[in-house]
Amino acid sequence: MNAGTNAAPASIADLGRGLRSGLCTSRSLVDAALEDIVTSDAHLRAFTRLDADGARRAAQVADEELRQGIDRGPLHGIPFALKDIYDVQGMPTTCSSSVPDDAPRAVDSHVVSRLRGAGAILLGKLTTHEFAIGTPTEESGFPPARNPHSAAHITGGSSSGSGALVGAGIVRLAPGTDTAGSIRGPAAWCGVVGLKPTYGRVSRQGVFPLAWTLDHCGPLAGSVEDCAIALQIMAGHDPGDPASADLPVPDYRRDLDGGVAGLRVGIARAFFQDSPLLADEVRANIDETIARLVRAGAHVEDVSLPDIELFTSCGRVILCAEMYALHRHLLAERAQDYHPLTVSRLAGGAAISAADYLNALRLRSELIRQTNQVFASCDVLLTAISLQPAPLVEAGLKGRDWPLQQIMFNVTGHPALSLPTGISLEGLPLGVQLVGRPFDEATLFKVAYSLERDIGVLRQADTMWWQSAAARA
Amino acid sequence: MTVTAERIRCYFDRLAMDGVCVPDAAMADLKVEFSFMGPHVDRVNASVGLLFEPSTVQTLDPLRNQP
Repeated sequence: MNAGTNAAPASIADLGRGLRSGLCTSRSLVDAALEDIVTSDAHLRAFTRLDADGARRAAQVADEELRQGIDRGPLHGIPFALKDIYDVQGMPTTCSSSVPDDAPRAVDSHVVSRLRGAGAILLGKLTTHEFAIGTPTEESGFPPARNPHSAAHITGGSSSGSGALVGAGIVRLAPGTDTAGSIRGPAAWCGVVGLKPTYGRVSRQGVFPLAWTLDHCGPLAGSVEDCAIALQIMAGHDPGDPASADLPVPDYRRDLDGGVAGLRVGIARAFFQDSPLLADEVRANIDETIARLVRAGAHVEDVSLPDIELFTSCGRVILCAEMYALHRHLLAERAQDYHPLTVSRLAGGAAISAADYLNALRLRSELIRQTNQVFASCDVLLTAISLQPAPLVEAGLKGRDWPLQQIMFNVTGHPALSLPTGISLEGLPLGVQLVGRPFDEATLFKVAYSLERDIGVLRQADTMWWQSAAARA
Repeated sequence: MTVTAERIRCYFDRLAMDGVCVPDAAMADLKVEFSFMGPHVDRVNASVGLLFEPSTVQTLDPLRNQP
């Protein structure tokens, strides 16, 4: 499954065909992934916990079921890993922090339960930023994951391990969470597809929260189709999450290759075009992506949304107030056990009064209304996801000035997808962000799939840096 | 609203009321966070003042985008 070459790596659908034709077994896929992990993870540092024995046992069960004609669907027998804030039965949930207790969780989170029920094989849990908001450091006990494209550049977070592992081609699926961009940011900087679904589309039951109003669970995956397959399983009503939408889940792959002819794509150009942070090559890549849509028959026009600073401020106030409320009692008891940077971010919520927070919620309702109005005249929005390629490690870990534009759609709850669309001069991934109507992930996937097919395999170095490092070791 | 030294002292008092004892290593970054939040809070409050009459009926129901 290694993606460190110019060849197109095997998709989940490809692997499924291999399983059903006898070309491979789930056990062989797991063994191959484990072999890659053994050689890579000293460098990538994606895992907090690897369950090799559990994965092998589950793979054998999956193989036996297929032999008996029990087919659970496209994820049957496919290895995956996920962010260590999802509960997994029998494992502790560390949140990449020493604060949580290390007691094994009694039950799977809802997403894990769905994925395992679909026959997917859990390899283990992946590193994140402390409680999905901190900054990983070398001395924190949970060192930062490394970008598979460059050891000198960050993965982004907080689904950093997920981005690293899928970006390295070791798995095709690694669910994360997104409160202010934590799926889409690492997806953009690690060169994979990352989806923040509509708020309420995927249950958050059994996932350690950060901000209830903004939290979303979703997939990081190796391709648009892989992402659609994953969402098909992850989505659906769960009474265990009070925000879970009781709505049918459509077939996300039914019209995947339907093309974009006649679709209306709105460009949220004002979000990014005048930003002093926008790199020339990012601008050029966005323009080229738009041109591809035009050539494919989409109707493209600029649209007007509220000022991005309103979205950002609204989101920051809600985020800071809610995460402080969540952690307040833990900080009172155990502030010394958090990393100091995490303490500073969490405790910053003490600056938010109740009136400030309620005004942010009032503003949010207006931002939702105005964004929905834009969708009256377009089917999908296109905007930037990152104004620059991944920052250097020295510049990036503090995380305040990251050139990412993401929180807007956590505030409104619209589905938003980060799609790789190019390679920078330094060999780092470039991408765009596509945004859809609430619960219309199918159209998002269709547009993203069309672009992905048009762009083709993004050429990268024949050997990734961590493969060279592993070979020298 | 300018985030003055007095305001920052108030924020630390709020933390103290909540029983949160900020480690020394977090203090400098926390002051930065408090200063960082000021413009965001200002922008939210100013925009709400422009958008809504005080008598506007609103709901703050967290469930949204659902038919």
